[in-house]
Amino acid sequence: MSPHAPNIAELGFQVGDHVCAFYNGGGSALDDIVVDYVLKGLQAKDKCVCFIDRASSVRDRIPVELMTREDILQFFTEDEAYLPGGHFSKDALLGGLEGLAEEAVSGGYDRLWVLGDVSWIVRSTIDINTWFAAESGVNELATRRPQFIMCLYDLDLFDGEAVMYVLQTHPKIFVNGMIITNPRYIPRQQFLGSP
Amino acid sequence: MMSTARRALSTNDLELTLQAKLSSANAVFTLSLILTQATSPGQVMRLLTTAIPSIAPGHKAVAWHPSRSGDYYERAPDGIADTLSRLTVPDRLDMGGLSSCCAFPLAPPSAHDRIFLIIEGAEPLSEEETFLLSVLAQLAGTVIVKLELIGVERANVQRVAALNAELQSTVSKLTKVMEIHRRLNEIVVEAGETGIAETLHQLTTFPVLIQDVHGNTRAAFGYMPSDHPVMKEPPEQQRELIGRLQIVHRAVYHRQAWVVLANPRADALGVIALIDPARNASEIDLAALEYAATVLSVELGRLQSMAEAELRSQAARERDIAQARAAELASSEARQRAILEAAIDAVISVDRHARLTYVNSAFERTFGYRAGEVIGREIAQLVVPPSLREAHRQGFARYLQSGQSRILNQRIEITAMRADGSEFPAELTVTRTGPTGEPAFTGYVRDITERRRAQQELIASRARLVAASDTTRRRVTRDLHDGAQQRFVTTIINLQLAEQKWESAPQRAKELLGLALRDAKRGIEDLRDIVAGIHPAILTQRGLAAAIDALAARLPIPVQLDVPDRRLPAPIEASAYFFCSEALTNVVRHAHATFAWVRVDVENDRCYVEVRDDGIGGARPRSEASGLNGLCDRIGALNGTVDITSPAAGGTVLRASIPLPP
Repeated sequence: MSPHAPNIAELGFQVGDHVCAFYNGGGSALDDIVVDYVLKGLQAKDKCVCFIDRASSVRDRIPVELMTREDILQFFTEDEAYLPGGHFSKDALLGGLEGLAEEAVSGGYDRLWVLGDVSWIVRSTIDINTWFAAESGVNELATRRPQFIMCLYDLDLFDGEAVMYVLQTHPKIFVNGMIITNPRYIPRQQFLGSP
Repeated sequence: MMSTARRALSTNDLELTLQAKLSSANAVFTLSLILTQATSPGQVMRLLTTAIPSIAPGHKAVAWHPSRSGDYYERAPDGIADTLSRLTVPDRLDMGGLSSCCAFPLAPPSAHDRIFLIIEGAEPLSEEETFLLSVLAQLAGTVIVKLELIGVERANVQRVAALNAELQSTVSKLTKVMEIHRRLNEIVVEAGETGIAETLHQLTTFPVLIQDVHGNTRAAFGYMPSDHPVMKEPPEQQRELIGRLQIVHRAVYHRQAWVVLANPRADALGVIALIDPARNASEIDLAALEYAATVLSVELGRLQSMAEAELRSQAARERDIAQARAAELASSEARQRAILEAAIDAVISVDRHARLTYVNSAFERTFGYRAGEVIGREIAQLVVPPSLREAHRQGFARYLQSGQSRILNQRIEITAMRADGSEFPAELTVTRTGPTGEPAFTGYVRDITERRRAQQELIASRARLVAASDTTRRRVTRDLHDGAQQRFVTTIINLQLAEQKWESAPQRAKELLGLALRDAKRGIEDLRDIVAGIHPAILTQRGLAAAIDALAARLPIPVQLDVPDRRLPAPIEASAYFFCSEALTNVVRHAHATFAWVRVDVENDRCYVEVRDDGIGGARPRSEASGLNGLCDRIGALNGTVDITSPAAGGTVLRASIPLPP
């Protein structure tokens, strides 16, 4: 993490945070949380990248004056982000995130704000352990670059067991409008070694 | 994992055990946080029950209700329902198997629904696990209660919002409807049907058409194709549409238009149509249309009432006029009847059957009938002499058949018959009075008996005048022959003798001349007397007073004269002179009187002559050619009258009254 990276006080974010957030039912609830996250990034003139399938409904709610650069806000569908080539690869995901961070820095942005909705998992045949192993791997990646990473889970799609995995793989939780440190979080090595 | 807590622990084991307990506690509290983000009790319970294996490995969880199943819980088995219903704290359940089962109430005992989190596993839960799961169950129950309350509140809010929206919609509609009512009410006062059509068009933007029940356009507004089906409704379909509208009492979509009936009271007076081929009219548009129909009904009703009032007024006026005319006619008839009643002539009206329908008072006096006894009877039987009746009936029938009449509209003289059968001459004028198809006739009858008598008297008078003239001429002839002629003959003879004796006997001739002279004088006197009997010269030369004085001087009895010395018109003086001459002659000849009086007065444009004597009286005309009749004829010729008063032994007074010419 860069020693110069500022805190985003109003959100409680710190550069390098890998945060999970929960919402209900997709649609406008998802849009609301995505828009709120993107607005914070754009207002800080940071680059924002979203892995969501509802890009247009979000883009329509972004004031034009915040689009100060053409590439300041990028959208990738969930398949484009998580299933490049038609299948999931933890290394591809992590490599992609690494590349986005480097590109942002090289592009002159101070920070990179990444947001990803993972509802795609329900539609795919991916083993849940594989996914959460990847989630756990993101934690190391996040701290190496000036970036924020938020993962969104739909409580209508995931059960309690999955939620418990989410809690084990994200150091911080965005809940009830606050970023709190997740006491259930288990460091990557321990998580991968846990049953 | 948590079962290892029961084993004896080393320091390292104790640290691991503490970490495990801490991890479980973290898991419970973190999950509790996540559960607060749930949006439904079912989601809470699903997350809770599926998270239990992660919190208490080897265990699984379900949600039970003691007596029923629900969205996120199942009905508890019968054997443990009573146990559950009494359970207020977490407790073990005896399910009759090898597994361990524990029930955790989700809500406090006072809560409405008693939902239990049932956790079952091969091993019993430790005390720490039981505590943590009790906390989790309570938190989950709290979240569920909160969500249920939120759900209720949200439902209430939604219901209130729905009611509010409905209210707003209603208020909006009412506001629009009130505006519609206001504008239509205002416009109908100002502009009538045309105003209604224009305003409805402005309110709805649709073309508007107002027709009467026969399909005739009364008003229209907005562009409307002339071939629009509503404007070309055949009469039969128009009647069917009216009948349909009278049943439904609302707007009906008919031939590309919304149509409503305008029917004040029970009458259908017209329809108002909103031309809407695309059928886009809103509820408000139709409300405006229906209210416009109401306003139109009022307007048409008002116009109808005005028309009816005008008709009633017209009828009243006509009735008044008729009454006035009837009164006038009655008055006219009364006047006419009064005139007829006052008429001197008898008036008789008959119908086409010659039956009397009216007679006046003069009829009653003339014919001697009472009106009541002749009305309805045939006229011929009443007033026509028997010898003339058949001719009368034939003439009447001939007129009815041919229209030819010899007596209609002419003045003719007839012989009429009185009630007592006596006949009298009458003058008759007959006019037709009835209408063409119902002829009636009115006759005016005048009794001319007196006129006939006067005419006959006139004729007699003229005859007497002629006779008197002849008598006078014969008297003059006789007097000339017997008097003056003889005197002059004797005079001539004596003169001839005197001539013969003039030479031979002069004395005789002288005597004869003396005789001739005497006879000539007497002849002259006789001639004077004769002439005086015709028209005395003194009357012409000196007037009435001198003439009567000379007349009286020749009478053998004394006469007292009272005659004014003034001149009167020559015919008056002559008539008065001869009246006095004849009267005094009669006095001398017949009255055996010793004294006579003559008095002449002129006053009030009349000349009064009176001759009176003190004789024997009883004078009366003795023949048509008597002297008195001659006097009467002479005075009558001047429209004068003669009055004789001659009582026996009372003297005689003759009075003549002669009008002076203007």
